[in-house]
Amino acid sequence: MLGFVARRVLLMIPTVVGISIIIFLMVRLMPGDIIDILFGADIQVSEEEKQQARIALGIEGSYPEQYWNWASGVVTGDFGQSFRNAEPVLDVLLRAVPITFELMILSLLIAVLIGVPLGVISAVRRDSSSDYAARVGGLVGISIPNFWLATLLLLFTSRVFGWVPPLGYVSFFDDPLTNLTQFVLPAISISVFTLAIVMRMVRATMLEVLSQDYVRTARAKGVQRRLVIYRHALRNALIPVVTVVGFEIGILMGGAAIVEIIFGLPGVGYVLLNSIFNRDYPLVQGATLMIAVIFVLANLLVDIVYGWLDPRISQH
Amino acid sequence: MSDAPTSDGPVAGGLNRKELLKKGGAAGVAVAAAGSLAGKATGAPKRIGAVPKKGGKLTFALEQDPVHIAPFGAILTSNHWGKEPMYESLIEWDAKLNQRPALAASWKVVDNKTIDFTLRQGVRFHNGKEVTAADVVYSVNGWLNPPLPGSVSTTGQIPSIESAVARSKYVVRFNLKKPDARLFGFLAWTRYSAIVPQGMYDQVNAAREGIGTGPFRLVSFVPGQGTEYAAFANYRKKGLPYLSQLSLPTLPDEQARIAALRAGAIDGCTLSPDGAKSFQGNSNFKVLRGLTAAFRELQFTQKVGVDKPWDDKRVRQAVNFAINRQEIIDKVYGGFGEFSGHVPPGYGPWPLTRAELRNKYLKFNLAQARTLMRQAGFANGFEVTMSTFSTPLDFGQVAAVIKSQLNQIGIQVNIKAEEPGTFAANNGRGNFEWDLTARGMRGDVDGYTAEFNPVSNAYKIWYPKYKNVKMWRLVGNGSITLDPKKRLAMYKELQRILLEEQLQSPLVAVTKFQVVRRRVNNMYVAFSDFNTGLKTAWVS
Repeated sequence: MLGFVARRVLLMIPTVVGISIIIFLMVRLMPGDIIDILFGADIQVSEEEKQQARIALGIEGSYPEQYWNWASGVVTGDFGQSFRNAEPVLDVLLRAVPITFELMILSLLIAVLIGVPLGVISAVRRDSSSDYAARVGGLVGISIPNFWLATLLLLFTSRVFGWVPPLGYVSFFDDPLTNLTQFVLPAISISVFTLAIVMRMVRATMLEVLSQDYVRTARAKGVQRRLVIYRHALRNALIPVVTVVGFEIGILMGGAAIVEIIFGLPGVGYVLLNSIFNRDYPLVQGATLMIAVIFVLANLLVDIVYGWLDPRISQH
Repeated sequence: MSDAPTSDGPVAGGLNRKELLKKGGAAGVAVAAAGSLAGKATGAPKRIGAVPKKGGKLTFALEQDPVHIAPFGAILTSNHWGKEPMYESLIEWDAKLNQRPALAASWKVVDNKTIDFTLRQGVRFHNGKEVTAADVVYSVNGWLNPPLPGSVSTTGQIPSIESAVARSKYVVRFNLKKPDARLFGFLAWTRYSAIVPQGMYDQVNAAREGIGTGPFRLVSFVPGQGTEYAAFANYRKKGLPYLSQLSLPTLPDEQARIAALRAGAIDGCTLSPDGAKSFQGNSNFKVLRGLTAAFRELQFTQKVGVDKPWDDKRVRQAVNFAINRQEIIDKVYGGFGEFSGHVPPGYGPWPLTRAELRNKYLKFNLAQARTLMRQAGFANGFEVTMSTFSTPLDFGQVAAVIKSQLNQIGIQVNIKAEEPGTFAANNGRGNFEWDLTARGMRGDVDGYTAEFNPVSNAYKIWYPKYKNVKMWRLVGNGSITLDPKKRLAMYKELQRILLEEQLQSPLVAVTKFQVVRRRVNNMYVAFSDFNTGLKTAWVS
């Protein structure tokens, strides 16, 4: 098992380096650079003044040179400074990451706590009205764009209940109730897709497992139906679901970016979109790298859990 | 459309007709009141004279994050939205952009390169320290060399200040590199000219904290979340501010702002025309609207070695006459907007009159346009590429309307929508045939005409082939003439020449909408695109 984890961790290194190069290049290949935007309104500016600003922002020199400066800084924890407010990028990200992290945890919880039981019910009561309802609900969940659902939820609660989530982020540790009130709608908005996927996945794997010999044997031995479903069938059915949930983290992060903007939650997605708009290269690079690393770590975690659940994987 | 801020609901600070009648009835004068108020509700509040109420909190959502609130060298307009309640300058504008003393009690032009400002005595910063000439000197150095997170890119907006010197505790002398009339407007704009206490950047993190003299003192600023202010008890204007707390949360999504407004989580915000329309007729809200300095314009180039049809003045004039600006306002801006000259309507006394623009220089006249095209030898028209911003979307829409309008005189317009950064880069380098672009607020009228000065970088890039000595003289002399009356006449004449010459064809000024809850009074849409009304707003 240890060797398995070590192999996975080592594989992360070229992955993250590759991602960092792609991020670095993509940011610079975006049309219009920061200098054009900074001086956009000033038609009197000279090329010398623009050059001076370039030097001040540290975007002078060749791309390899710039990449090396950035990457070597990142390794030591220095992600650079924001072009827009001179704040260390790491500080900005450390402020934003807990928000996105909480949003993802809550979304995953909603998706798993509702999706798994729904999938089980749907499989166990195959072709019943509850199965059809769950399947239709799953289709709807997959089809609804999360930004649309977020807007709809906001407008609905404001019109019907005269209520919207409290403004201004409050940490869970400062005021848990206000914090959860702030996160409930955004979490629902981005969890619906994952919930539907989890539900469908659980249903499909449960149906497969329920037709296995060992399940039939357990029933034949007189084990209670409930015990067979939850102790024998569900446990095995959840293995592929873990993989799916791992991949869903990436989708959740993508959804979180837009939903954070809609609900005014200054998480990583919010920071990223604003920094793209502002051509704040260090912040774009830092936020994207952070998202990529979280995604890679989530996949590592999935691999480890998968290996733990199914020892055959780690042995290979 | 008036230049002054207008309102679909009761005017800011006033009462609606129903409330007025109710009050009149209570006083036993209902009949008389009903008769006298039969006209527009907007005129009524002056007669009643609503008394502002002290206290209360107002929450106004910003559509863009300020990012930081440093006083010097801040680039984004939203930077200023976040910091404007706490900072002031030596001069200020009133709602109609008339200059009036602020931290300076008076000023004296010693000679055309030397101006002495005498400060008001007893004015306090939020930390209790009195404002003195030393603070002004420190601040001026900050304007000229903005420390981080300020950017040197803002120094182009600053007039030719060489130095500021304290002559006594309350007198500070501004030495200019050359005569420069832009100084006063620059100060009044306040955007780049805040006065802060000496050494402030050593005392606080200026990106997130601040010490000013404005009506509100900063309580907290958190990037991405918002700014909290409390009333400054020792504010120099007695009785102000009315509010005891001002909150400026950031809500970038318009639908979220609408939902928050409906739910009462915020008291006001800026909305698109469509967003504002959803509050029309709702008695719980007031829809405010007003022109801002933002106007759209069509820009041509005159380059050496490149012969283009629009090198001929008659072609440029034909384009101008073939553009139906009212159609642009109606089709793209839902009927809200105004014809704009090179100086936008509402910019103090400087723009040409509405009648002059609508009836003479910007009059839609297709027959005349066709005649001019024929005389110029382009009766069959020509093909041209018009670049514009890909966002905001109204640029593409205006471009589409212009394309169809110019088609009537044979000009085939190919629209090229560019990402804003790319557009800015191409525009600055003169890499375009025609640009459909925009202007914003400027501290001084010269900001709208400086590119016609032949010594400017912009002129050398955009119009190197074009010669007009009369225009050159007016642009050059206008920027160095300190007498406002003489200056005004010069800029009026300059604008007429520019409209005749059509190197740029100004199109329309855009209306901005803000919606506030009924309890908010005295709020208005500021021409400067800031939220100046918040400084004097009150809640009932």
